[in-house]
Amino acid sequence: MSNQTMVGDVVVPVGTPVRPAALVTESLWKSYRVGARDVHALRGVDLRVGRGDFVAIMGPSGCGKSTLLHTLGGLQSPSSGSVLVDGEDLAGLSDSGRTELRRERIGFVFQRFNLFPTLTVEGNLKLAERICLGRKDAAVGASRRLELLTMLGLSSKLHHKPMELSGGEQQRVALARALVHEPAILLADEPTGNLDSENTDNVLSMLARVHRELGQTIVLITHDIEVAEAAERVVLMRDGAVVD
Amino acid sequence: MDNMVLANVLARPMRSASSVVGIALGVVLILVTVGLARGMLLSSGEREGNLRAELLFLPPSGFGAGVSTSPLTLPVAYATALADMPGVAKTTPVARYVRSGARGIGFELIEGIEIEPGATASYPELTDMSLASGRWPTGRNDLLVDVQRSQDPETALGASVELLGETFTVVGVYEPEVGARMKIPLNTMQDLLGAADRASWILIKTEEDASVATVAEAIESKFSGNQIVFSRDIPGLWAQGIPSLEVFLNVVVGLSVVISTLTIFLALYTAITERTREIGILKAMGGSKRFIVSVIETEALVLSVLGVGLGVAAAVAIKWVVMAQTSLVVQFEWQWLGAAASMAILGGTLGALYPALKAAHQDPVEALSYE
Repeated sequence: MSNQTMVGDVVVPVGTPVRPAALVTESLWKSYRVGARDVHALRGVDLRVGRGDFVAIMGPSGCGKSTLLHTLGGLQSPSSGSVLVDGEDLAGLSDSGRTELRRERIGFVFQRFNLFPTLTVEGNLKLAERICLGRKDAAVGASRRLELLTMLGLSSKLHHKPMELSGGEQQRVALARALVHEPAILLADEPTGNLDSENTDNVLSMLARVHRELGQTIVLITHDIEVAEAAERVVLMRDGAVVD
Repeated sequence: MDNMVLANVLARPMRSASSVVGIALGVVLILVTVGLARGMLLSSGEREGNLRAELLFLPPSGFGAGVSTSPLTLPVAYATALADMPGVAKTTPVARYVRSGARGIGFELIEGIEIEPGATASYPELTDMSLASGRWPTGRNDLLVDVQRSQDPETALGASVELLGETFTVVGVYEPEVGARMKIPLNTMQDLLGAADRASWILIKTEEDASVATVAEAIESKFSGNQIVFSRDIPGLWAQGIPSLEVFLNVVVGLSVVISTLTIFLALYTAITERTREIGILKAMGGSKRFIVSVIETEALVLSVLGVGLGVAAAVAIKWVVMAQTSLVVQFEWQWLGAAASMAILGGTLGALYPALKAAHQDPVEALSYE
């Protein structure tokens, strides 16, 4: 009798405690019409990410990593299959429904930081609070903001604009902004792609700390094995499909 | 800076400034044009209202003659006949001519009046007009001006003024303001216009114990076909004297809305294209369409309100310069100030609507990959 079992795409020893699913995809397809032919960016992806998991999705450029991340985050709808975020199927949601889901349960971190250049660090975080928490939870947002900025070593940079910060600092601000509303899932798209090795290590250690101390579910996309090794689990993709 | 709208406004100061100036232009257009039109009409109306005469007797062409250049048509003989009517205390004929205004702006009225009593009362006698300085006209080319006109060096006491192809000399300054600001002898005007023994209308002062309405009815009955106007109605008649004025003012308001709309549309349309990536970020963060529209509309509102403030300030400055340098009267009314502000803000928010909706409907993935 086998002493291993499958949980989603993962083979685990029998008896391993299985966390409740934060994110599940089943037979996920995403196709684009390019001229007269269909291009399949995702080909039946099955993936399970438990609550509190830190998963890296790795693969070469063009393998569908970013498409998968955008679909997981509801930025685009799948062509077929399902994406369950905390049990809710994105495929059944309208555009505004997916926007609401992002607002409540998803945090994004991008390769290019994507901070608002005209706003200070505090302004960038306040904007996220305003979008995600509204005005009624301003006090909650302010306390969470301070907690995050302290944890990420940014409390002295509150009134700086993004251009006055290093790349690593900008990405930590982006991380704080993505977490300010306590999302169920943090989706990071090549978060160290624009950073030197020192800042890469710094951001990865911050991600690890957020995962460890806040129990944050993280899905990170990278093509760099060293970055992927920061995660608990690595999922390999090739040609739009999960291969390992 | 932690306010996105203000940060966006300040991020492109030249673009924001040009938008504010564009909005201000619309506000100035409304306030100054309407203020000029209203000011001139009301000022003229008020001066006519200062007449001590209760009634005006006019030819059938009506009060429109007040702002026309048509020749004098009413026989002066009516003045004598009217003076003999029961309840009539005094009458005096008045001739009126219109010429282009000082420095070529607007128009200006000149009256021919009886200086000395003759068969009828004189104009000064009937209207209680008195001399503030100088003397009454005695010669053919003597000219009287009111106090405001005398403050202009070109028409000050002793100055030479070209009127109807002849040179006149300002010999006296009268008060209070009544009728046209410049007055010459009636005979001179009749001669220069080729209308001997003719006037534009007759001023009628009723006896103190007479009923003005009864006197008017009697005159109307005896001289049917001509017109009787109560002097208390004159300010309103002036406003009606230019029937297309309201249409013109509505066109000005419409133009100002178009200017405001286009200004904000162009500014925000380019801004939205520039901020495509930022809009993608807002969408990734969960910003709803309503939120994105509200951010852009708020920016338009801020620019519009600043434009209204600048426009009002500029209009006040223009009013000051115009009234100091010309004889024109600019009068601002709260009603039109409100209309100008509303139109500017309406135009601004309308102009922002398409860019805002375009931004709200952008595909987030495409917006995030925008270079």
